Amino acid sequence: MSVTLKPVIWYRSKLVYDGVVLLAMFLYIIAYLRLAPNLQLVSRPIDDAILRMRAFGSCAFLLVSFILAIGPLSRLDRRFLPLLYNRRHFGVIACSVACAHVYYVYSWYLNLSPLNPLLALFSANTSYGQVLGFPFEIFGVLALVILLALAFTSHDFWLSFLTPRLWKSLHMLIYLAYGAIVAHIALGSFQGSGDPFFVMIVCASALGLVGVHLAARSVSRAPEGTAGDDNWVDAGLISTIADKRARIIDLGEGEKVAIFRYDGKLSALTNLCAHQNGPLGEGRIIDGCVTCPWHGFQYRPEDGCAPAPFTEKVATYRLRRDLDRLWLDRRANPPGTRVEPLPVNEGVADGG
Amino acid sequence: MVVSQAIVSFLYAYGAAGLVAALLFLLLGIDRVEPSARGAYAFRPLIVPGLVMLWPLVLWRWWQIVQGRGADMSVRRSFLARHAAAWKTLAVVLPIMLVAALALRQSGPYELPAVPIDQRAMSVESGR
Amino acid sequence: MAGDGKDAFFIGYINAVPQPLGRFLAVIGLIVVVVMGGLGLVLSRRTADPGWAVTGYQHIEVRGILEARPYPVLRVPDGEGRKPRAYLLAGEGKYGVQSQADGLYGRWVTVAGYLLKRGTLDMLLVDDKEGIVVASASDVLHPAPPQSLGRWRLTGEICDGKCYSGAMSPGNGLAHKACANLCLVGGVPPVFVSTGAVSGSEYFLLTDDKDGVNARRFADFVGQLVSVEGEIERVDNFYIFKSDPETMRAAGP
Repeated sequence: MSVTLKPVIWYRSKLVYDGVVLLAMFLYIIAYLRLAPNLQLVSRPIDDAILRMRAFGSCAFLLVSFILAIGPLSRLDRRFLPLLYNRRHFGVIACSVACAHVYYVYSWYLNLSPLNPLLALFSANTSYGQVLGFPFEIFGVLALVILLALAFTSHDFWLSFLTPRLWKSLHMLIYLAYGAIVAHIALGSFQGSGDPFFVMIVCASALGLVGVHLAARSVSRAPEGTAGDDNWVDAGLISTIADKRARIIDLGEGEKVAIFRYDGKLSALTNLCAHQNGPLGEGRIIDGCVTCPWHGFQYRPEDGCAPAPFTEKVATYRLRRDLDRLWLDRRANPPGTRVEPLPVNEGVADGG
Repeated sequence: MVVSQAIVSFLYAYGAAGLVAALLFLLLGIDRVEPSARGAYAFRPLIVPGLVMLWPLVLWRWWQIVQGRGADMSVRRSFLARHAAAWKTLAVVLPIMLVAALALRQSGPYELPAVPIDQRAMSVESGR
Repeated sequence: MAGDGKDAFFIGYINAVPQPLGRFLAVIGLIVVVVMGGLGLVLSRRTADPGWAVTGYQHIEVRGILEARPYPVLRVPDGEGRKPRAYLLAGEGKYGVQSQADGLYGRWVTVAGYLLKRGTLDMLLVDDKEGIVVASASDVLHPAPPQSLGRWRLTGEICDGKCYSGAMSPGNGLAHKACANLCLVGGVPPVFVSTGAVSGSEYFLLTDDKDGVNARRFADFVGQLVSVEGEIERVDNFYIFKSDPETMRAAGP
């Protein structure tokens, strides 16, 4: 979004967001490490390092689970959308917590032996042929590598440098990381002292997350454009599009178009924001610009260009009308191509 | 042990190459490939870990940009299909993993008393 | 519709959050904070008991005869109202004391270190420097030879003797497996923790039936419940389980 790259751009909303996440994390850790030990029913205290491994490890799992729930929750209820806005900071915090977990494992379990701790990590347990006693650490390593890669590339520089397509593909690895984290816990912690309550929390988080994603999928279907002659598809009645809002038309194979109504005019843009593929069609027209509901990126509806000094561009589409019925040309224009907006009230039929 | 040693050596070599690549990119590449980085220095330390970790990808993109290829930033096909595939897979894999892990768990029923096998052991057992 | 915030449109870089939406977010934030704090407290409160052990790191000096069984064991004969005792020896960190003990087997030595104690297990964590020093011979009788208790099948867990006797809390289980394997590779004596007692003891120094010290043979089984057969010997207060690796099986169905 910024024209010149900065380390972090702070807004008050980001500070509040990060503040709440950090507060939740600190409360969890302080309760785990400082308050609860006085209440534990143990005949001798648990090692500091082991208690910390457990505290930071379980905290990282809970944070990652919550982060992954934000997307589908905001599909199910738009009021969760602001949580999506600063998800990247949330992710970096979760990754830092995971690093603290690794630090204590590294310095307590893997250190102080005749082997270099990194070598020890890969060679201390090599029982790959069995399920019980499987080196579950390897799943943790996989998850950590992915979390680090995502945290390291969370700066906007990476989005621009790698292109949104590659960046998004890279960040899809979070799902693999989540699977690895659950495997890590299932083969590690579950096989240890195995507190049934913790088992329950982990199962509920993982299965709940699957459930909320499947539920969100079922509500996120846009109407499909009915194919007409040639490349024009039926995009429904003009009168049913609310002012300053859009209707999303599904062209199939993941391609969606947002048709906006504003100032007595209609314009069609791709539904995917150039920033992080947010759903533009669920945004609004604000100050004359299409505004993405995820991070507030803006585009002029007539040419899909971000207002100066920004440089993002998205694809535009041509529209024509047949009385109140709207037709959409399924052939996208190159990003930033100007298309004359279609007036809502004049009975002008634009040529196809 | 040989495999582990090889993995560790590879990691060190990869990290060292990453440091060199990151340095080269910051000195020679970044201003050319990323217009919005010109005149901006404060953010650069932030990207160093990523440059070291993903250096093959960085070099590939750098080369691509210099060649003037792959600059199409537009995405028209969403990741929804891949996203759905990922969650359908997790919807199958996660429950299987959790149930299997709980089924394999060793507890209670497997705890057995010591069993004497020879005569001497039996006499120790009966002498208790 | 406007009253519940569902119609509000939030833009992060515009600082004002539309009000009904702001209240909704404040409630969500509060729930997250309270749930996280509560979970931290409850999960930590439910921590399983690692079991009692002396972990006080009390520094002592003991004089006795060093024996290889095959791990270094210090035999302290009876006298001054004490019963004879045998101490397992391990070093600092994840190291055994084989190199320090080398050449001193069968001799009177003074061992300085920290005491760990769990059940019938006594372990000394020998000081790195001058932890084992040759001492003058005592006039008391030599330690009694080991007494065989016959062949048994035991079910239990293979641990590293140091962590289990009290150096870590807890020092067993599969989460601790890599750590235990490192200890065993470093020469710390393995300990078999049986679910059933033999002659009052649930703890056994684990060796194989060839009296070998190749801990790698047990590496795949460390940290989980296994059943294994072997001969048990008593040496003063502690027990040696000479197990037959061929009979080792994961316990359970």
